[in-house]
Amino acid sequence: MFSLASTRRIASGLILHANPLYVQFYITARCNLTCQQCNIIYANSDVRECNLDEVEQIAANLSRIGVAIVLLTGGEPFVRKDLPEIVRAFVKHGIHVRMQTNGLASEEALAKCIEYGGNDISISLDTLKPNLQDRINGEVNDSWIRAIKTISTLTRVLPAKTFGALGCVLSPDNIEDVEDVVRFGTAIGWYTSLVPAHVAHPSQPMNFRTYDKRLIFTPDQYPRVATLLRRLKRLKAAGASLYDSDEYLDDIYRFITNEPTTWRRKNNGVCDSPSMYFAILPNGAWAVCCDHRLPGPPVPVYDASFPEVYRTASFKDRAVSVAKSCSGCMFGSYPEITITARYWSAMFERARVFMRPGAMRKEHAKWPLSVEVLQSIAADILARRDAQ
Amino acid sequence: MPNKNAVVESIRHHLLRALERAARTSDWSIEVGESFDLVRDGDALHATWLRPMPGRLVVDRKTFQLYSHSRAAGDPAAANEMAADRVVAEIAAVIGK
Repeated sequence: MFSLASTRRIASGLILHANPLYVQFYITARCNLTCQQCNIIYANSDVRECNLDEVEQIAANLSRIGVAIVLLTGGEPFVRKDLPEIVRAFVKHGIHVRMQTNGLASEEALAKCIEYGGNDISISLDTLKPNLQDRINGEVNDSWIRAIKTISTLTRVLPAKTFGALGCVLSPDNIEDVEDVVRFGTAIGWYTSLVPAHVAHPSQPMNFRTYDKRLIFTPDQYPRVATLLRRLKRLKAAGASLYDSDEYLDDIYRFITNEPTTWRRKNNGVCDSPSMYFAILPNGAWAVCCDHRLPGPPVPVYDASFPEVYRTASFKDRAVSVAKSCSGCMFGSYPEITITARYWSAMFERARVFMRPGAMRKEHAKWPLSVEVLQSIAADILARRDAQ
Repeated sequence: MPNKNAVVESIRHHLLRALERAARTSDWSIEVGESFDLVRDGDALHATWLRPMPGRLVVDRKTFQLYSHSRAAGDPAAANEMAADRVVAEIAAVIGK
């Protein structure tokens, strides 16, 4: 799935910690859903969007500092008509592109992005129950079935050596549904990645975290969370395609129950921004992560001087001072990259996922999967659970 | 689960950010932030808070240039931050700070 250039960058980033592995580029704040757990579309509503020339410059600059993977996210990235060209800009510079969608991407845009070199996509799916998903997505009718249609399209247009993942947000609303999503992903040859809902206190706003208190787990729900995570680990050990490491799953429980998470302990309790990962705002300004902007004068990543600025001690100090003040997150990729880079067992586990040729070949052999087949797989999983 | 209004939620976030900035020099804005609410009525946004004392302020929606909704020309980031700081200064005046 990874090109030789990306593989080399991933290896040096993970083993030598010599270059940033991963960048989240929030290419737009526009979105056609208003999901209950998301605040980033509101937080980033105050900045403009980069034009394609600036994106090209960002791709060149990220390549110069050795970035291996860029996540194109939003908002809904597919609302940008020039997304295929954005994908091409990064691929041209040897950067692996992961695309993210809420499931409402058009077939034409998906096909074009894949044609331009995108072969890695993550799609949001929190439940196999259409009504619940529509509610989670902000009362948008048919959003679940449209996501299923998009998955169906992807099984038709994705090339063989690709990586498809379901992004699932764990909240009190879908705690009984997460296992179903993992089973569904496994049945169709996709990985599932779990992120707990993050809720900010209004006196300490953070850009990605919702203010919706209903998404906070109550202590009487903690045993159900523990049971779910135990079952997920068991499912993974039995071969289910759950992307998350055991260390990460253990930290999800700590995070939900307000205990300190442990994934940052090998870096003195601080995350690995800016050295291993960071974010870029829609206007091209550098950000510590999805939650924290850089205070003070913005640092445009499209600026010709960015690679030099990024390597200066003063820039690093500015970024680390923000990271140090953060209580910590469980936003999937950031913790997982730190865990992968700093824990050998997780590194081997990740290597098995990406380096094992044809690991999902059995499921991929059944592709393409029609909407009806996907609905029937979902219905079977729900029926089996109800029968238990 | 009510459908969120994107304009209200965007302005709420920018105002809470501005209240957080104000909290670096004074404590009252923390209490305002904790008890803050915002309701839209056309272009008028009714801001209310309960602590340190109940109060209200009407904010014109056009005070903010939300690029994700109006695609304003140029980059409105700094102007939006200043607009939010001005609203917080008005809140301070309402509660006599």
